[in-house]
Amino acid sequence: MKRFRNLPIRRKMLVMTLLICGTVLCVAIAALFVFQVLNFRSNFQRDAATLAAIIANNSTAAMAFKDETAATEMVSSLQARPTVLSASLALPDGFLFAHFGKAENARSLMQFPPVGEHRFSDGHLLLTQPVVLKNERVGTLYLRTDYQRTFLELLGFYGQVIAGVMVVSIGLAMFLSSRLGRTITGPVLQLAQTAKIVGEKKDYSVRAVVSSRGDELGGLAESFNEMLGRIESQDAALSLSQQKMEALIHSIDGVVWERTPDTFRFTFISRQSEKILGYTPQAWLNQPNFWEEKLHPQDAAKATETGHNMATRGEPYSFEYRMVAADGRTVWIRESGTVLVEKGCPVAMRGIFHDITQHKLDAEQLDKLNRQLIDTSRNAGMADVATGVLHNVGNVLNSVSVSATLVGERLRRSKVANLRRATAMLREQNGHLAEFLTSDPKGKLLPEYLGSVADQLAAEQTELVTEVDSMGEHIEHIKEIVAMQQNYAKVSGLYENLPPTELVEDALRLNLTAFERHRIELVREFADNLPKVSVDRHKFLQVFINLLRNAKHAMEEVTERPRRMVIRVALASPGRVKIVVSDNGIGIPPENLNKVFNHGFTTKKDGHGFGLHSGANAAKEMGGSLSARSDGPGKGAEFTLELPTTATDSKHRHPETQATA
Amino acid sequence: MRFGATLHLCLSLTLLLAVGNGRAQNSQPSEYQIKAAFLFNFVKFTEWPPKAFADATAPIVIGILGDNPFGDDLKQTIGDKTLNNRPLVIKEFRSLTEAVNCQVLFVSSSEQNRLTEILKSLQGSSVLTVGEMDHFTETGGMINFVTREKKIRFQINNTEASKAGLKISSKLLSLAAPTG
Repeated sequence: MKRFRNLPIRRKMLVMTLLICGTVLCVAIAALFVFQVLNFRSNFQRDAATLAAIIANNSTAAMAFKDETAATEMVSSLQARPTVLSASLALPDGFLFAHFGKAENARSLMQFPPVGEHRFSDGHLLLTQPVVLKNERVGTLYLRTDYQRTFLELLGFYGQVIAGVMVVSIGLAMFLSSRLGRTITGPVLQLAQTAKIVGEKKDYSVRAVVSSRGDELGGLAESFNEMLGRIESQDAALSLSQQKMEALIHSIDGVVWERTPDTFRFTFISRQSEKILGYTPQAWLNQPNFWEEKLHPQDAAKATETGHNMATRGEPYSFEYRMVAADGRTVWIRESGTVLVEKGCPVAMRGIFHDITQHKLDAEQLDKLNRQLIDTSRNAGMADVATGVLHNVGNVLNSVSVSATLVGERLRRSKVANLRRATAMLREQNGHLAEFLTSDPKGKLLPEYLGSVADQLAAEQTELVTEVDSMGEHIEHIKEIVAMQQNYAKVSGLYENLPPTELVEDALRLNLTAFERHRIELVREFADNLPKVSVDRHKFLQVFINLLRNAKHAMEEVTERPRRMVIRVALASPGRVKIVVSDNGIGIPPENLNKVFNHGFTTKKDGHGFGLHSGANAAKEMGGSLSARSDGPGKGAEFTLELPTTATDSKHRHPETQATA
Repeated sequence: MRFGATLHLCLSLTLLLAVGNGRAQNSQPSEYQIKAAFLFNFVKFTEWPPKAFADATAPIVIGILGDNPFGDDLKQTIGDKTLNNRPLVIKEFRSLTEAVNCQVLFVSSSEQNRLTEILKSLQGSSVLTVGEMDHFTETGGMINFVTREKKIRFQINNTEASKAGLKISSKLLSLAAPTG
């Protein structure tokens, strides 16, 4: 049945026709055959009976007169009947009187039926016919005919006829079927042919031939043509919109693509790929691992891994890597894509390659510039610090030298000489010392003198010790300043968790002498129990000293009122500590308030306009901020440095250079 | 079944033997026994015109003219058989005048000398004449017994029979020996 279903329609119709025809013929032939067989049987039997009756009737005289010759002649006339095997005439007393064909014997005679009846036996028809003359039985005719042979002959004949009929009718049926079937199969095959052409050549302009109108096949062809027409117009519209789409895609400044999420084989890539990387879309589409192979060797492993991770994650993503262009250039690519997910499985990836080489170069340039600026600022900061240090060291050294001169003068004017004079006097009186001390007026005064010398020396010692102590303190201060400078110089770039007040005190210590010199009153307003802040000691110092210097400068011109600087350290918000430097100096005009952090902005004659700018940057780098506030010219200014406390997540301080999805 | 077949065989064998015996007993029937049977058979194959009988049930009379050569054989052969509802009657005639009132007339050899006269007197009547002498049929007789190859045969002069209005069956005619 499956083989039949797959046959071509023309063959199918033929097979159907033949089957129907064959079945009908077979049924008709079978019915006819049964009828014929039955008919043949009765006809054969009747014929044989008639024959027997005739022979018996004609034999009456021969039997009556027992004329053997005549009787034999009579039965021999059956020779003309090929079906007759034997015929025997027996007298009433049973004597076999005459016979034709094979002689019957007593045994074979027993097969015959009773008189007047017939019997089919072993393919023979046996008849026993009485020979009656005027109501008197004068003998018996035993007739044996070959029923089977005749029947087989008939069967053979029928077979030939049936075969002939079959052949002729099947031939006729085939002829008629092919002739009549053509009206059905013809249009169907034509339609199939048209459909095949459309399918193979994608040519929707062809039309099926409508060979008939009003019937289903004609309707089918018409509907098919109508459908083709619609497809054709849709196809045209589609190709138009596709052209538009393609033009749009190819005009995008980036490579639009689609690829498989597992093997990364590209299924679409826009022509921009040729412009950006120098590879034709064909090259991308034909080679299975094209993308992986053209990745920059240093980025290949990471980019491949990231790409596959993004594919499995199934979210919109973006990351950057380098590729090697056809001419050997290194091209920076930012891949932005989405993953198409169907039933939980990623089925495709679509996205855009952006050429970000120029951005990268610009960023690099900017970075270099920034680094240079930072270096400059650092150097500048260092110079500031160094100047401060030297200044302080110089100041302290002044004190040290004053102390040293003082000590020297004291030592030069020491009462030790008086002691020496008293001891010399005692040595002159050697041998009569007791007399001298008791009797000589000078000698009598000597113990009192020695006591006063001792007192003077003790006072002198106390004074010198105090002075030397002071000097030691000054030297220790110098050591501290130098050590601190070394300390700050060393720890640059290292983040530490430090108490903010300590940091502020360190910085102030460096500037105390300067404040004294400029007669600036320093007010500390430190809150208690402040958390530690996470900072780069060096950066902090750079920023904070800058702020102190700016405040000092701002107050230089103030003469009519006492110069006052307030340093306030407090909690700004949970996780942030603010350090406020507030002065009552010249203030900032509102128009300049926005510009103070700009690079190159300065109001100082010798300023380079970099201090606050780099300070703000440094604050930002540390995850903090720097802001300014002023009520206007002459009304002072307030700078607030906010810093993150230790508990804050460290990621704020380290801006990511990696891809962010 | 098998027993039945065997019984059938035995029976038929016995029958055959009996028939054989019967045949052996009657193997030598006398000449006149045969002729008597023949004569009876002639009657069977001959049709008489209706006017030959007085009525529908009138007997068929077989007459013997002259010496009776059959003795009792003819009587035994015929017995009390009837033919077409007619009884058969045998009569022996002495005179020629009696001989007209019959359907079959066997002319004995003793009457050979006046045969012509006998036959002449029977003209116009439907009597089947049977004889056993030379030139019987040439003379005008209808059926004549002859002996050929030691077998009793008969000759028929159908012309004479037709003249007398008798119809002799073709079957009988076909058995007849040629005249002459």
